[in-house]
Amino acid sequence: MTRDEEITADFPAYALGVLEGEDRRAVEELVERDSEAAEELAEMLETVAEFSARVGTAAPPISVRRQLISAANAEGGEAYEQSAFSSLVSHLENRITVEETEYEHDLKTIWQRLGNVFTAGRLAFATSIASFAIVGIMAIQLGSDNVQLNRKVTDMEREVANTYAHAQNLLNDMSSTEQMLTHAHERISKQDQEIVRMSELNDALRTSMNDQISLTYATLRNEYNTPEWQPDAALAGNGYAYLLEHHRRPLGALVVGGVESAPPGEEYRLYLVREGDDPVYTASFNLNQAGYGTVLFELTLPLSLYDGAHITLERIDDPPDPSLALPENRFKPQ
Amino acid sequence: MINYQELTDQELLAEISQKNTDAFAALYDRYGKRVFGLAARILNDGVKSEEVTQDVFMRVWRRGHTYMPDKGKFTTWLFRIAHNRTIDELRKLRRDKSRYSDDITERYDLESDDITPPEAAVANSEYEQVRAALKVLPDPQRQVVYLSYFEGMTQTQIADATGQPLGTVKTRMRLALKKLRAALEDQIYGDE
Repeated sequence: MTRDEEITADFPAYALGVLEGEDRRAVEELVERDSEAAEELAEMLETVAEFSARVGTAAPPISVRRQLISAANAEGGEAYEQSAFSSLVSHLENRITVEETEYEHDLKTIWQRLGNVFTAGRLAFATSIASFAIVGIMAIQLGSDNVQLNRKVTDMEREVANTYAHAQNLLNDMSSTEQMLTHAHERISKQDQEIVRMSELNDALRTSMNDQISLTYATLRNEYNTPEWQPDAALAGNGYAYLLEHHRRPLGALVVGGVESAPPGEEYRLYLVREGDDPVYTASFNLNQAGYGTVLFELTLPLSLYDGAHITLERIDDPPDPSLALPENRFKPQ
Repeated sequence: MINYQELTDQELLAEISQKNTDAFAALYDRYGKRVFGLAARILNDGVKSEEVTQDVFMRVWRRGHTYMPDKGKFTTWLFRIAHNRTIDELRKLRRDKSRYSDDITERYDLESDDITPPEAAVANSEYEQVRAALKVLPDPQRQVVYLSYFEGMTQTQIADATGQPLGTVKTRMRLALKKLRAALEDQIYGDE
C-alpha cells in the first residue's frame, strides 16, 4: 500500500470528524495536490453534512439569536436598510464573482486535460507509434472541446460585460435619483425655515396683540372704573372679559380676550340682567382673529344696579333673543 | 428593502462579509435549528448545545469569507464546523465526567433510549430518515459510524473498544459512508 493509499484510507475518519494531528494534516495535504482525492473526500464530507443536517431540528432559546446579533454588532456589524438598487448591485457582483470562479475552473480544467494529454503522449511515444496516434485523436477531440469551452468562455465574458454595463446604468440612475433627493431635501429644508420664520412672526403678532389689549384695558381703566365685572368660571375658562363703567358718563365698556372669533354670519351679544326682569340687549361685538375685542355701549342705568351680564352667540340677521342668555355665560360683579 | 429570506446562502455570506447583521440573522434563522438540533442530539445538554450553536455561527460571522464555493456546498462547510465543534464539546464533557455506559453495544443500538431526542429536541421525519439510513447498514458498520459520529471516538479508540484490527475499522467506515450516501440520496430524491 502506498503512502497516498494509506492516507486515502483515513478519508472516512476525516469526514466523520475524528481524525487528528499528523493524519489529519496528511489528508489535507493530499487533497491539495490530488484533485481526484479531493473529489472523493468532498463526496464523503457532503454525505456526513447531509446526515448532520437531518440528525435533529430543535428551536434554541430566543436568547441565543439575540446574543449572536449583539455579539456581531459588538464586532462592527450593523443592520443595513439597503435600497433595492444596492441590493441588486450586490447581487450582480456576487453573480459576477461566481461566473468568474466558474470561468477560472473551466480554464483550469482545460489545462489539466491538456497536461494529461501531453503526459499520456510522452508515454505513448515511448512505447509505440500507435499510442501516439491515439493521443493525436484525443488531442483533436480535446481541441474540439477547447473550441467549445473557448466559445463558452467568450459567452460568459460577454454576459459579465453586459452585467457590468447594466450595473453601470443602474449606478447612473442612482446618481440622478440621489441628486433629485438632494434637491428635494434642500427645498424641504427651506420650507422648514419658512415655517419657523412664520411661526416666529405669529408669536410676535400675538405678543403685540396682547400688548395692544393690555394698553386698551389700561387706557379704559383711566376713564372706566368701578364696578369691574369679570366672567364666572365657565366663560373664564375660554379666556377673559372685563365689564367697565365710565366715571362720569353713562357708558360701559367690554374687553374680551382669548375667545374664538364668531363663525361667519354670527356675532356675540351682551345682555345686562336684573333679578326679576328679562335680560336687556346692550351691545353686539366680534373679535379679531387673535380672539380679542373691545366694545363701548350706552348704559340706561348705572352698572351697579345690574345683577349680572350674559354673552350670547347669535346670527347677525336675527333680532336679539334674550332667552339665549344662558347662565353659564354670565358676568358677575366683583 | 432586501428580503434576506430570498437570498441564497452564498449571497447571505457575501452580505455577512460586509458585516451585515440582517443577513447574519437570516442565515441563523435558516440553519440555527438544525445546528442546535445536531448539538442537542449528540450532547444531550441544552446549555452546552446553545454554546456550540453560538460558537458555530460566530465562526460563520468571523470566517464566512474563507468559505470557498468551489470546494463544496455551504451546508457541507457549515455542518462540518457544527459537528466538529460538537465533538470537541463532547470530549470536554467526557473529561469532566463519565457520561456513558462502558458497554458500547448499548450505545449504538438505535432503539435504545440513549439516542432518543433530548426533551428540547423535536423529533421529525428527517431524523426518521437518518435512523432508516443507519438501519440499512450491517451491524458492524453501523457500530463504527455511531461510535465515531455520535461518540467522537477515533479509529484507534474504536479498534481498541471493539477488539477489531484498525484496518477493519477503516474499511467498515468507508463502506458505511458509501451505503449511507446511497441511502440518503434515495430518501432525498425519493422525497422530491
